[in-house]
Amino acid sequence: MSDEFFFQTDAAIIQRLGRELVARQDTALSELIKNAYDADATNVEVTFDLSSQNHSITVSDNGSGMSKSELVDGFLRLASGNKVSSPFSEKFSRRRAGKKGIGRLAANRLGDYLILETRSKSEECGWKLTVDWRKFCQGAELNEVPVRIVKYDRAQAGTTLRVEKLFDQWSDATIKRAFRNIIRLQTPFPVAPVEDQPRKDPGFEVKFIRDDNLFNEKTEIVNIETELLQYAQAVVELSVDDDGNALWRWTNQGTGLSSEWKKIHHEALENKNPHSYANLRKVWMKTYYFILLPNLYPSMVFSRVKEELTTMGGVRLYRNGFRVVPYGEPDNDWLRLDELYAKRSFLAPIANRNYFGVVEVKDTEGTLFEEHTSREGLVETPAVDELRNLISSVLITVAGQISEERGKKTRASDKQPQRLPDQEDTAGKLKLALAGLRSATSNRIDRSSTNSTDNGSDSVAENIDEVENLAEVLSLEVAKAKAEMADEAAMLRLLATLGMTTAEFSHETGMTFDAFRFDFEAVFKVAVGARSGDHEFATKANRAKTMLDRLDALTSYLNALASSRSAREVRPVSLTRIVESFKNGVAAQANSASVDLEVSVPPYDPLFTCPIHEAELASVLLNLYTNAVKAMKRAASERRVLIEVSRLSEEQLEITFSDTGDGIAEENKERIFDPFFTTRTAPPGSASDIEHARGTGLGLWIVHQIVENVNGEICVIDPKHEYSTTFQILIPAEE
Amino acid sequence: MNRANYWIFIDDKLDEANSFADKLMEHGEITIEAMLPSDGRDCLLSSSVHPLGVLMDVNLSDVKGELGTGPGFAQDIRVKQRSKEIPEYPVVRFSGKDPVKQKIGGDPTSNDLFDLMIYKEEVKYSRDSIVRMLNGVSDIYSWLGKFQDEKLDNSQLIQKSFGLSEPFVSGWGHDDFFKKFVTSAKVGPHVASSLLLRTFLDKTGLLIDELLLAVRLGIDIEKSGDAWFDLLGRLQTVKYRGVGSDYFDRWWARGLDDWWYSEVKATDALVSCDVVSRVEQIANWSGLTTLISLKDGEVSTFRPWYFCQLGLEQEPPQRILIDPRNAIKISTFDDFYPWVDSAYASLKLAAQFAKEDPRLDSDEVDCLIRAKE
Repeated sequence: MSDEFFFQTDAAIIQRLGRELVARQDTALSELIKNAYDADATNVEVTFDLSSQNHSITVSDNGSGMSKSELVDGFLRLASGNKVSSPFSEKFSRRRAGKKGIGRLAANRLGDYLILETRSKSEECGWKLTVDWRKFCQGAELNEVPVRIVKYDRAQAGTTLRVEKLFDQWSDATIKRAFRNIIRLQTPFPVAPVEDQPRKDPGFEVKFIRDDNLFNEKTEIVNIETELLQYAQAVVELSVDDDGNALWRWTNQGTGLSSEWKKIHHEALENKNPHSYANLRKVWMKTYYFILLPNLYPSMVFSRVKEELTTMGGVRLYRNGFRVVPYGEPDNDWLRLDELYAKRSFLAPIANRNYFGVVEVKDTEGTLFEEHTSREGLVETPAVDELRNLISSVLITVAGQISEERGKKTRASDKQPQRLPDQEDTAGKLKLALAGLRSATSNRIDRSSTNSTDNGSDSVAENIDEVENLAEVLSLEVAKAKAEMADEAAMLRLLATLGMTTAEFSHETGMTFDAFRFDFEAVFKVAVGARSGDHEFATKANRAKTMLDRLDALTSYLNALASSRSAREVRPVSLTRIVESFKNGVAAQANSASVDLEVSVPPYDPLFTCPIHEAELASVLLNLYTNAVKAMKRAASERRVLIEVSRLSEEQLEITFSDTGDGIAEENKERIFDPFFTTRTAPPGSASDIEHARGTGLGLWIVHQIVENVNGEICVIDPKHEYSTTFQILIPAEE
Repeated sequence: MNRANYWIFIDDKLDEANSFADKLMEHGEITIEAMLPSDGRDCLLSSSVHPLGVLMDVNLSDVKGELGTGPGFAQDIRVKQRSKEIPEYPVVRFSGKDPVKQKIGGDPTSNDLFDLMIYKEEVKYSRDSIVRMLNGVSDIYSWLGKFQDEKLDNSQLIQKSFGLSEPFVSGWGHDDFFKKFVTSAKVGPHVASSLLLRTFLDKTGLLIDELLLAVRLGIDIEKSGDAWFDLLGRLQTVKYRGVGSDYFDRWWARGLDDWWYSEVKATDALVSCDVVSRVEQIANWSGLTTLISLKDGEVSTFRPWYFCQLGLEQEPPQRILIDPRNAIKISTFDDFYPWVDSAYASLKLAAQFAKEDPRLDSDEVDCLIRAKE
């Protein structure tokens, strides 16, 4: 014989589920807000009334609300499974943030009373439910504790939860923690007006407000600005107008200074007035840029910002006001920023975690930006390609410029790593904090010996906290410094390997190149003979031959530079010879670029320098020359370069390098030697490593390093007559 | 392959060698077959092939299993030639500048093995003259091989070899050179050929080539146009007509001085006149008024006599005119031959290279620069 028995539910299960499963008060609050998100709300206001006797929190949303049946069958039914069976919200198809169906019990974690007011759009009136959690006590049957629902008037659909008789104190820090828990559900900030479209998710905004009943004042306690954006080093803005003109600027959040709006096209990086985009129209972007170094943030903030950006960093894409996934999602590298940074071809921090931003595109016709039918990404149209390249080009450029600005704090030529002062600063603070700790400890001993009631434990605890914080910051700084040193060492290893490889094989290419030239000429001769009378073919043949000559001259020069002797030996070298060889080497290239290259050397004095790598000195000239050619192309005037070398004294030699380019702005004259300084826009993330290496603003920095390494000097001086830019390089003469 | 004017080119990089060979063969005056060292040894040291000459690269190590070098291979050929195991033919060093510098730079001990030493880099600038020289070397071997049958005494041998009649032998030539030539010729063609080419035909001293002839006369060839060729026609009396002259256009240096005094009726030595004076006097004598004098930048009163040796060694070669009074003498790694002129470098290039080129006396360079300052 068997009897049937049933599980019985003690009313205390509510306490267990609410108070014990949700350990922290901020987690409990964020669970309630997630319910609003799941209910397709677009705005949520969380109001803290902490001034009166009866502390309360009110969570009010404009979501879909609940009908009476939904209230009874859904809200009052534990583990109903609705959210499991319907993982997406009804209206905006949001992936539901809460799934277990117990989020509502989090209210039990917060206070004794819950008053829920709700109205569904499908109903004319609202419903008010009141729960006194204290009644769900041990010994009572769950289904015997009544919950009252009454009808009430409510104008708008939505839900308001009010929790009264709060259990916990709510400090600003706790409120901010709650905010951070739901930060990723929100639209970061508006960039362009949102158009109303049914069933399109316009986003989710949560406001945390303190209601001061005494003065009836409502103040916003926390938002994304206070939690994250205010710590950014820069804000980058971009817009593309109806004609495809792209403009961008950036603002240094520290100084509040903004750059001018500059026109850009990622395919015309040298051009200050580039052409418009062929396909791209109506784009707005606002992105915050973060350099994740501990010393740039208040203590305790760095770890949090870093953690948030690690999961939320990137640039989200909105089309006609609605989010397009997966752009900007974790692990989505649509701008190829992570890839570029990982390759270390660009040293400034440019990973997705360094950015937090939104780009909006307006395309109501859907002709430029068409979503895949799966709603996962956009169809790869020319406009999408342009968008991707434009944004990454701008973001990388800004990162370079900010790195350059930061580098200005300590001189580029400093032998000490730039981060050392930061570490010293932190170490200094650590010492002070330790001294404070020592003092607090001794005070405590003094008090205990005098039987004082205040034993000073608070002071000791605070100092210990401070010491721990500083120790943490210091260890992070050291780790970061180590990582950066490793990066630099890796870069140097790469460059050294390249140099050695080039040197090793340079002599081989010489004869191979000649052999190739002979065969090439023979083939051409036959071909031209066979096509006699074909003027066009003859023109092409001559052009190819001219280009081969140019290549030949340049290759010979570079091979000579890469030869073992030049590359490896440090010895006095003749400036006169270096300059004349340089002229011979690049003459053909200069001629092809319509550059009149003139050198002036003393008739007999070879101008021997202090010991230096011959190849390094040549690379100084090559760097200045390539910069000059770019500047002269921009200037659209006659192109002349004059290199003069002379002896200033027994101890000092001078090179002056003048060109007729577009000149260097006064404010840039001291900055051009800083690492990463460039007036050139960075290429997009998808560009080749070589293209990125060209635009990093490291060229003149390297020149500076070479010159300073031999105790020389380089600067921009007043241009020589009939020239627009003149560099002066002073090199110590051979002793 | 056409065996007329057939040369073999020994190189470890067959593709490149074939490209160079094709370039040298492009007008058909010569036939060159590129071979790997191992194949070359089989052909040449076994006497199965009798080329007109051999081009030899210095570095042969880039082919698998090869342990030998170009000079080593050349020595094997010379030994076999001396012992009559294989026929006499020229061996020309034909290599890039870098391998020469790395393998045998500054060491003249292998120079005697070669009749000529040509850098591969020169082919792109002087292909035609290189081919002429190669055919000239073959011609010299041919001549040296035949004369031994003619039972000539020393005097006849010299007159016939160098195209000089008795009064000019001592006047334009050099006794030591002639003696050494006679001795060498009796040992074997390759011994005499090496002497002829490396100290006489291909070196400035007793003979000068057309470019240097123009320099000494102070004439700008390009600007003077046909007048230059007219003048050359009037210098036939001092043109070299000896062995190899069909391929090496040369003029007797001392003959030119004689011509200057006897024909032009000059009172001052040619070397002591500036270029304007030289050309003026020649024009007055010849009526060739369109001859244009050389200029050194804006300076027209200089007295050039040589090309700067360091300039000629640059890549690409630079023909820098120098007056030896303002130049630095370059010592040579080769044996000293009194009939060969010293090489000179311009003061400017000498100053630049003084620290790294052991042929230059840096003290002398400093001294001369101070004098200039």
